[in-house]
Amino acid sequence: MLSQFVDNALSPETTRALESHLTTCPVCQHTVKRYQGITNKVIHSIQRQGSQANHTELEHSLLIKLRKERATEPSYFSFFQGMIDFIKGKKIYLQMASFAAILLMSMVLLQDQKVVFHSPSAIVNSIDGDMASVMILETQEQHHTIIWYKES
Amino acid sequence: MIIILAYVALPAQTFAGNRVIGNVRIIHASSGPAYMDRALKDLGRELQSVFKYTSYRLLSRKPLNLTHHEVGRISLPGNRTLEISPTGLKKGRIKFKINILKRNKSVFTTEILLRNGSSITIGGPDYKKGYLLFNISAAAR
Repeated sequence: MLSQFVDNALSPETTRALESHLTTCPVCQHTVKRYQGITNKVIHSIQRQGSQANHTELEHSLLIKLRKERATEPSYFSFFQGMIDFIKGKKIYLQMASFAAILLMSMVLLQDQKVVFHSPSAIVNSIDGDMASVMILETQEQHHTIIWYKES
Repeated sequence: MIIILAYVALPAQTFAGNRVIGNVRIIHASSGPAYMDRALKDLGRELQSVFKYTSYRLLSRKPLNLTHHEVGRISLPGNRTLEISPTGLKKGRIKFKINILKRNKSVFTTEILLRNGSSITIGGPDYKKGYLLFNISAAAR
């Protein structure tokens, strides 16, 4: 009963009766003090352990528990979940997005790019005919070959 | 990476068969009011860089689809005819024999090596207060 008194687990009437008894009984007083000492020690110990708890370890053990639970779920679900976890874990979605952006930009740039040749578009091997004059020209930019002739 | 490489490599086509596909654009150049035909967008700047003409009009466009040594005949304005025949391939170029006739009489003959997928312009004949230009483009397939 004394331990229940220390723990505040007795009814108000019993508590009052015990309190009046304690004023006259040194043996019970001593026992109550001993119990209170033990209770205080236990409370302090719990508080100290709570503040020094390793949260990372706790999180790790919780994750292991969760994975074990997921492993028991249907295989197709765990496969997709696993994929999502993998993508999230490795952050490859960021790399994939970067790659896609680079690919798109390259395609756009190449689309607009003009192929520049450094040789004439056509090499004239021979010219013949009944003409008054003939000229062979080559444009500067695209090296486009032009033959200009004057009919006689 | 593979897609990019394939995309870059696409223009560098090699000769696959012995068919030559292209077209002939018949153009009228004159010193009339400034005009550049939209269909000559790719060629306009090149022509303007060497000629003083202010107007360039596309009169017609004729397709070419020839096998080697096959002669293609194209009617040109002013009783003229263009005869064109691919005669071979040499170092990435198509060998062409071109003949321009006026009233069935050969006026101009040339032999050229045209870069595959590129074009040449032959011009000079008088036509309606201006001049005719024939832009021949072709690619081997």
